[in-house]
Amino acid sequence: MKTLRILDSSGDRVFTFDESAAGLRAQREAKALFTRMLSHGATAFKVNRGDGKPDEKVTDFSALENETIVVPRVVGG
Amino acid sequence: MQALEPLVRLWRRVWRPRSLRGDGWPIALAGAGEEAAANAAVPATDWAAARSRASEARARKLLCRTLSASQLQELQTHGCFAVEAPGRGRFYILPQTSFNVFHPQTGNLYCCTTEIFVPLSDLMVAQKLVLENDPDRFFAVANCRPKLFAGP
Repeated sequence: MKTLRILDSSGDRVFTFDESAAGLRAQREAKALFTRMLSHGATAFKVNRGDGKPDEKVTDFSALENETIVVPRVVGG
Repeated sequence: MQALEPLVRLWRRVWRPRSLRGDGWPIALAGAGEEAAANAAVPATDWAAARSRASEARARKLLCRTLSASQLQELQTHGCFAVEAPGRGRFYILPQTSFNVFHPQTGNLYCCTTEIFVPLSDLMVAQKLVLENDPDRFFAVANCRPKLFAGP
């Protein structure tokens, strides 16, 4: 089961999906959302990867691991 | 005015302002249980504050899960934590919404936030992730307030 967390005003929105046939629809929706967010300037990071692996930026949906945080577009404050 | 007193007492017993219900309409209170429930309800402004607190609590949980052990300890001890931006050095992320990224070597403060509003702890998560993993993006957009301290 993979988790996509999108930061927003409520804290974060969570989407879970897996690669089984049953979870195909959820996966398609998550992929569409992921692609749309990134095309609007968001950045995604693989986090809590286990085995001491550091967080990592990710741009490819197929490379997502257990948990991914999507940060909305950043701007100068 | 005294003639109106019974009417006012009755109104107070029977009706509650819309802000106590949140559904836009006053309600008739039938029993003591309902009255207690209505009194326990919060006015609209408090409801917004409660929602804001809930969002921040949720974001805080995510922040604590995202930080490394040493960063988490720093956060719990000092309220801020350090991050290493590859090729840029060490920065401190302070718990405030603007100009909260501090570079101790230069004294510069940087301000980089998300385009949409997020709770403070989510902003700190975002800044940590971007600084550690995509620093060029951070410094491409961040505003800098140079040299906070004019010390020795």
